[in-house]
Amino acid sequence: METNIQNLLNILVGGITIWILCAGALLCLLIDALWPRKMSVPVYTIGILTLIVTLCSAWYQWLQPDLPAAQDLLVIDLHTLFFITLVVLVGILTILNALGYMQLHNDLTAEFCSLIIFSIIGMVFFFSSDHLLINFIGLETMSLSIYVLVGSHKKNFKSNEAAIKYFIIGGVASAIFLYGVAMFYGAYGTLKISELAMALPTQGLDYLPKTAVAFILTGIFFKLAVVPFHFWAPDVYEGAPSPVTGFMATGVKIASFGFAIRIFIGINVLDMPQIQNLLVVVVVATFIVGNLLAIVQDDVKRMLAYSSVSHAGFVLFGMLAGFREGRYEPFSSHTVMFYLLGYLLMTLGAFAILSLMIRKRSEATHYTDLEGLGHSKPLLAGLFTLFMFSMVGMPGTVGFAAKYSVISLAVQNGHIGLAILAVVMSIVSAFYYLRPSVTMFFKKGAGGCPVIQEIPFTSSASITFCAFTVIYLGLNPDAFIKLAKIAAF
Amino acid sequence: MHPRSVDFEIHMHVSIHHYLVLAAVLFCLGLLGVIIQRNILIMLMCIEVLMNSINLTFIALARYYNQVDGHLVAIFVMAIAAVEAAIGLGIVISLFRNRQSIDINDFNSMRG
Repeated sequence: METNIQNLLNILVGGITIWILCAGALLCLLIDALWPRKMSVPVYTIGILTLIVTLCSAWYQWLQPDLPAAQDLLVIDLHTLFFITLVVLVGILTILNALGYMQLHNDLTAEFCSLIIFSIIGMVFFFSSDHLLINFIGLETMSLSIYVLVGSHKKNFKSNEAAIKYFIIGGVASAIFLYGVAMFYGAYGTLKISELAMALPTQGLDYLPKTAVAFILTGIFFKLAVVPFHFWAPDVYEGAPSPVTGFMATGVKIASFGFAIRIFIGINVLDMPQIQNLLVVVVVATFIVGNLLAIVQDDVKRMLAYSSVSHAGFVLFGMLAGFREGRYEPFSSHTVMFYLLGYLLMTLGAFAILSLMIRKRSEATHYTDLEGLGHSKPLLAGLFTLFMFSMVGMPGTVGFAAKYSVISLAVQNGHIGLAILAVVMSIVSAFYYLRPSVTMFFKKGAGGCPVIQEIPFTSSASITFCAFTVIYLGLNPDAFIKLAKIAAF
Repeated sequence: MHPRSVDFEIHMHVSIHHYLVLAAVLFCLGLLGVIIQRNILIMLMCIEVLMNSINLTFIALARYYNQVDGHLVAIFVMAIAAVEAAIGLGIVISLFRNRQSIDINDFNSMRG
């Protein structure tokens, strides 16, 4: 009896971040159900407070000298806590963006907030669990919430179309992922990653676990939108409401990488030469296709979709850079984690500004809509340019620090050819990242009303936060790289 | 034991391989269906086929290993598939309200 209570207490204290998130999401849902259409602002306040409290409790656990004892299915280690911090940060910024967006579009629905939090709970389970079934449930919780979020503009045809496309592609990707899990189960009779790690031989894998790895990787690649599986990304990113697009471009990728690092380092299959060759092919294809197709787009959201494809390629390149003479060094996953931190700040900053663009009661993100914005809203246009500079990798912004850490690691470990390709593609990317800024500042508007008229308080808060952190992390990245190093395996 | 049932045991023994191959074939059919079908409702059904073929795999394997894990996975996956169907149909309804069509070829408003 005594040990039972102790056990329950351990679970309660260990998983406190997740329990807070669950309670907050349910509370939001409950308030919205009891007082429909009246309590939107309090619901959003509760949502943001929930996420902030979660962030604080994650940091509190981080600072504890001894982490909660390894629980059976949920692993709360520094890796998990780092990724919890990232996804909760994504959640806070997305809710702030969404509040501004919804005020402008005049439909403030409270479900949005609880769906975002449910999606974050799914992400946390996705990358923190040691049991592949729980990972899958997390993946589905995340994806199912996002299908609804993408289609949340019920009257807008583009939003519906994006939702059905994402739903079908995502459903197939989840099924492929689950089939890989089933193959692991068939090969070793267990679903726990720690037991799989012990069961797997160190060398010469059988064909069944190899196929399992291939299926799981395919599922993850679909979620990451890297090149053979990127075709859905531009349509879905264009059709979804702007804050949701920002959420998908950052949150889903962060969670997928968190999971990929946990499973592939956990079961130690990265040393297979086939996986390295596969990663090289995917990274090269992603760099080339993502960057070249981004040039020909004429809508900022589509351009950012291809840009997120190429950034996913860059993060995968960060994984690849960790291979030294055919063996992966788990410690070098810190470059990936720092890159994800920088990527989330600059992407959400850009999407915060995109969320404000509205003309005739609908989103206006075409390049022609940006004309003259540099004259009517110079500060906002300047900040947008800052985020774009950061994505290119200009020194002084976080994008530079992130790309620098990846490329220097690659050069240290002897991946010279890929490093050169990465640098060349960064230069190519300058072409399409600077086009919106050129349009804003050097093209006169057609005389119509400017695309951004009012800036809600919440949006300006998130834009300010992103701009400040992009510059601060760019000038002073060492402290945060050190944090990522502590959290790396 | 009735002689005919013994006969059945000997000549038509269903091993784990039969279940796994059936599940694999169902999985391929589901995948093929998602790729070639143009009707969104049938595509949703094909996704259900995918999920259920995986359930079959898990249950056969759980029986093979004499464990309860695989059965549990199947139950959870059924719940997830039900949620997926609900959300998918919700999206289809809002599409149909806007466009009066459930043919995937009609949904190509975004290009580039």
